[in-house]
Amino acid sequence: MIELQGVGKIFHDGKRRVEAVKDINLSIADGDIYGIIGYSGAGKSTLVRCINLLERPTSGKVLIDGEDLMALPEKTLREKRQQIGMIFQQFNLFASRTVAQNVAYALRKSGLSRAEKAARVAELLDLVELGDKAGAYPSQLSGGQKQRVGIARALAARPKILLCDEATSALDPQTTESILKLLKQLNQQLGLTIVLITHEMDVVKSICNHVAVMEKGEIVERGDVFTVFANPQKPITEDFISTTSNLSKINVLLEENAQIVQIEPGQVIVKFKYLVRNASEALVSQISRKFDIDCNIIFGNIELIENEPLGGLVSIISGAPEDIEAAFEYLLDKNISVEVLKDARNLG
Amino acid sequence: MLETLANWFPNMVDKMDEFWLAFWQTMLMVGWSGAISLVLGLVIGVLLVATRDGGLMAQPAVYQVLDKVVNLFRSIPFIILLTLVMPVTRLIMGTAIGVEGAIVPLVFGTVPFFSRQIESALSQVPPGLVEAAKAMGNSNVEILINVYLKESIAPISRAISITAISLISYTAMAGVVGAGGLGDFAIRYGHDRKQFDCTLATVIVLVLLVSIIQMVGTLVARRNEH
Repeated sequence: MIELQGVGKIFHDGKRRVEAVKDINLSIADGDIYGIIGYSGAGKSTLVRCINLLERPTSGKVLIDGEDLMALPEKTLREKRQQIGMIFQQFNLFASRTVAQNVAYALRKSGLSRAEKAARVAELLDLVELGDKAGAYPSQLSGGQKQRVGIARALAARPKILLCDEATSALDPQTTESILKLLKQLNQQLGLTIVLITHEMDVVKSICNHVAVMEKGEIVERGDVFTVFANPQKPITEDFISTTSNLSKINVLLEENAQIVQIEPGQVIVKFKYLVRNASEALVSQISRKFDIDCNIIFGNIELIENEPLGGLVSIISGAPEDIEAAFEYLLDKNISVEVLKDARNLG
Repeated sequence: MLETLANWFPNMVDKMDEFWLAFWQTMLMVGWSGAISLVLGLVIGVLLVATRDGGLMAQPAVYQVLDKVVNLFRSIPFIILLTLVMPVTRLIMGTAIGVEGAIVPLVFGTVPFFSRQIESALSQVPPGLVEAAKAMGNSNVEILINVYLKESIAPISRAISITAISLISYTAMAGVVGAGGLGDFAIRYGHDRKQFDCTLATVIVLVLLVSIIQMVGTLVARRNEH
């Protein structure tokens, strides 16, 4: 359990006073994957460094399993840090050490014998699927492989928490996906608590359970990922969500009056959006059958978030006006939002 | 073979003993002052990096003092430094002349130069590595040794060879305090007595010496670059 209580961090840059993080209250449960998202300069990097005191907060408390890290003497704090792994955007591997030596470096104070260390290193490299690269130097590895070494090194001392500072931001999409998959797997296999900061909503969407949105040093919105995605409250959150969904593209098509959005009198273009975790019913078929209307899906974006479908559909609906109205009522009842984008019903 | 050598270096034939003595004196000066400068320079270079603003153990006051002292000694031409530090030399060595008398000024001339080289070598270590080591629970001393120095072996090795080469050229001036050495040999015979072959022989030996140092330095650096 990680608890930040009223954490603030003020930097003094000459005469300028920069409040990078303001009065943050946050608790992260064991085994959670918690995403902190924000644009650069939002203070998320500072915030994640406050968890292992790489940045010492200027106010507030940092509690790990109830223990106040800021009250610990330097030596005890260093021991504590070994229980909090960290990986970085630039990987930060030691260029002069081989892959195996990089991982073994984190075991210097483990008290293990030489043979035990070697076995542990081999086990970690197998875990990140780099068993054959033990003798390679970091410069001989690809970005994804470097991050895997970073992960193996961060996990060497068997921490319960892993902090990820933009860990996939320097990687291409395929590699990002494989690293995220690995993190998810480690979370499940080892019960690892992961705190992940990123500026990519895709990252949050694919592995996080909880998300906090940061802006100007503050958390402006937070919650479980599905709820935040389904009902964003703040404009910045909507911005982030729109980066991962192409549903907003329909507005451009409507503006351009593209071929696909040309409708005949009596028809209507609507956007259905799932608001709650229930959407696995065959809604389109149901309304077509029940209300004797035609539902022509022209555009859609549905994704699985925390294994629940989330997203929406844009459809051209045709049928008797009262039937269409009744179908909308039915959908609203099922917690599906219905937004009419273009209406030609009264032109009929 | 020997005949050809005698033809090319007519004046050297009867001075071989003296030449070897001069060579040995140069080696003694380079060896002693080099070893002392290596230790002092590494310590001061590490301190410069550690104490500067934003450094691992930021101590701006300490940094300012070290920085100014290094600059001060770097701005004094070596030939002047040789005589300037004589009182200190007498205090430490008991004499200000001979090979013993030359070691102290050579150290004073070399350490500031070498410290700067070390400072610049260590400054190339990416800050992220320091952060990673901190996150792994390393102490400052561990970070200085296992991260800063370990990651800088290649540039440090280059700095050592550059410094050793400049040290050799300093020893050529040590004749001023009666330390002898190859430089002194070349001046006394090659120049003063116009026996040009003595200068030539000295130059050949120095070129060989410098080439070997450069080669070893580069080799060690290459071996440690990955």
